[in-house]
Amino acid sequence: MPSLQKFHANVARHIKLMDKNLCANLIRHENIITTRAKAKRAQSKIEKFLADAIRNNKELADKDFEYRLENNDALNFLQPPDRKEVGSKIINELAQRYPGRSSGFTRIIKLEPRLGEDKAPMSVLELVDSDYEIKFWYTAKIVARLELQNIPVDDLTKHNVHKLTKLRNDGEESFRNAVETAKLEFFKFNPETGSFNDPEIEKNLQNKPNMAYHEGPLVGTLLKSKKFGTTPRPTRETVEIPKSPFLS
Amino acid sequence: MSLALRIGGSFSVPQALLAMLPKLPAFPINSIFHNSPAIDERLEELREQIENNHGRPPFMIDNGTIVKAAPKKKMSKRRHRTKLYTPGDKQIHPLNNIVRCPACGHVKRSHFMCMNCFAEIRTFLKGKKRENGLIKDAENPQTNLDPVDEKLIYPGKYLKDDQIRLEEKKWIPVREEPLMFDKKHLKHSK
Repeated sequence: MPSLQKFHANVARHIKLMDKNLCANLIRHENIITTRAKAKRAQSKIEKFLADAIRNNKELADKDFEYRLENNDALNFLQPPDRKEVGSKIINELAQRYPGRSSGFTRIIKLEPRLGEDKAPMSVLELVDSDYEIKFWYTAKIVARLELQNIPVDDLTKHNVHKLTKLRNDGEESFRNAVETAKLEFFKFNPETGSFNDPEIEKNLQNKPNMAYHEGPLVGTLLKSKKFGTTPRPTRETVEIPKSPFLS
Repeated sequence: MSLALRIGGSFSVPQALLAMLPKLPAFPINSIFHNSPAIDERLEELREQIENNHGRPPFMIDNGTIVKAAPKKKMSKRRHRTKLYTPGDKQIHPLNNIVRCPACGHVKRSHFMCMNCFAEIRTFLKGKKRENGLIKDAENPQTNLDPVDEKLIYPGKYLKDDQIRLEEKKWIPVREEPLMFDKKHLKHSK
C-alpha cells in the first residue's frame, strides 16, 4: 500500500485539507469509498474530531442550538463553508446516535482493487450505527439467506449481529426489519406465496454453507481457544461470612 | 511497370507453361461447405475416434502428438527473467485466501467485502437515500411540454457511429460475476 508523503510542505497542507474534506463528506453521506491509504489516514482524524465535538456538545447541553454551534471549539477543524451544515448534523443527529461512545465511530471495510489502470486498493469508510451502514445490511443479507434456506445462524454471524445491534438505538428491532427488507430486496422473496420471483435466485439458494458450523460438531467452538484446552469457569458459589464478634 | 500490367502479363502465360508447374493437391472444399445436409465422411470418422477409441487418447493430429497452443509473440527478456529469476515476492502468486461469501454463495477473498454483494447493497442504499430525500435529482422544468412543441424546441440530435459507441460505455471496465463457491475447486481444503 502506498503511503502518502508527509514531509513536503505543499503535500502536508494538501493532506490536511484532504482529511477535513473526507471528514465533512463522511458525515454528510454516512459512507464513502476511497483508496485505503486515504481512508486509514483520515480515520484517526475523524475519530478525534467526532469524539471532541460530541463531548463538547454534551457540556453545552443546556444551551440553545445557535450557541452550541458557535461555541463548540472542535468544529473549528472543519472548513468554514462546511461548518454550519456538518456541525448542525452532529448536534442534531450524531450526538443522539452516539450518547455513550467516546471512540469507535467509524469503520473501514476492505474492498477489491479498483478496476482501472492503477489497481489501487479501495476501502469503504463508514459511520457505525447509521441506517446506511454497509456492514449492517450485509449481515442482514446473510441472516435473510439463512432464514430462507431454513438453516440455523452460525456463531460468527450471531457475534456480528450482537456487535452491530448492541449500541444502536432500537438495535434488535431495526435489524429484524432489515432482515425482512433484505428478503424482499436481495432475494426477490414473495411472502404471500412463499416463493421466489427469480428462478436464478432459487437455484443460487441451493448452495449451502459448511453445515458443521451451523448444526454440526463445530457449533460453539468459535470463541474457544484451539490451541489450549480450556474448561469453563465454575459458577460462583455464595459464601456465608460469619458475623463479626466485634460488631455488636 | 505498373501492377496491373504485371497481372495482365501473367494471364498471357501459355497453357503449356502452366502444365509444367507442380500441381497442388486437390482438396474438396465444396463437399464440406456446400453439401451441408450430408455429413462429411471424415467428420464421421473423427466422431467415431473420439467416442470409442479403446482407451487411447482422443483426437490425434500429426502422428500422435497433440498440437498445443503456440505463443503469439516472443516473450521479452524482462518478462522471461522476471518469471524465472526474480525473488518470489515479485512474482505473481495464486490467491490462497478464497472463501465462500455467506450472503450470496459466490467466492470472495477472506477479510475483504464480497464485491457482488457490495454492488447490490450500494445500489439499494442509494435508492433508499433517494426515497428519504437525501439525494435530490435535478427536476426537468419542462416535463409537461406538448410532444409537438418538444420536437420543435429540442430536435433530435444526430449521433455519429463513434458517438453512439461512446454512449454505450463499453470502455468502462465491469467486474465479472464471481464463480459459485465449491470446496473441490480449492487447492488447500479448509
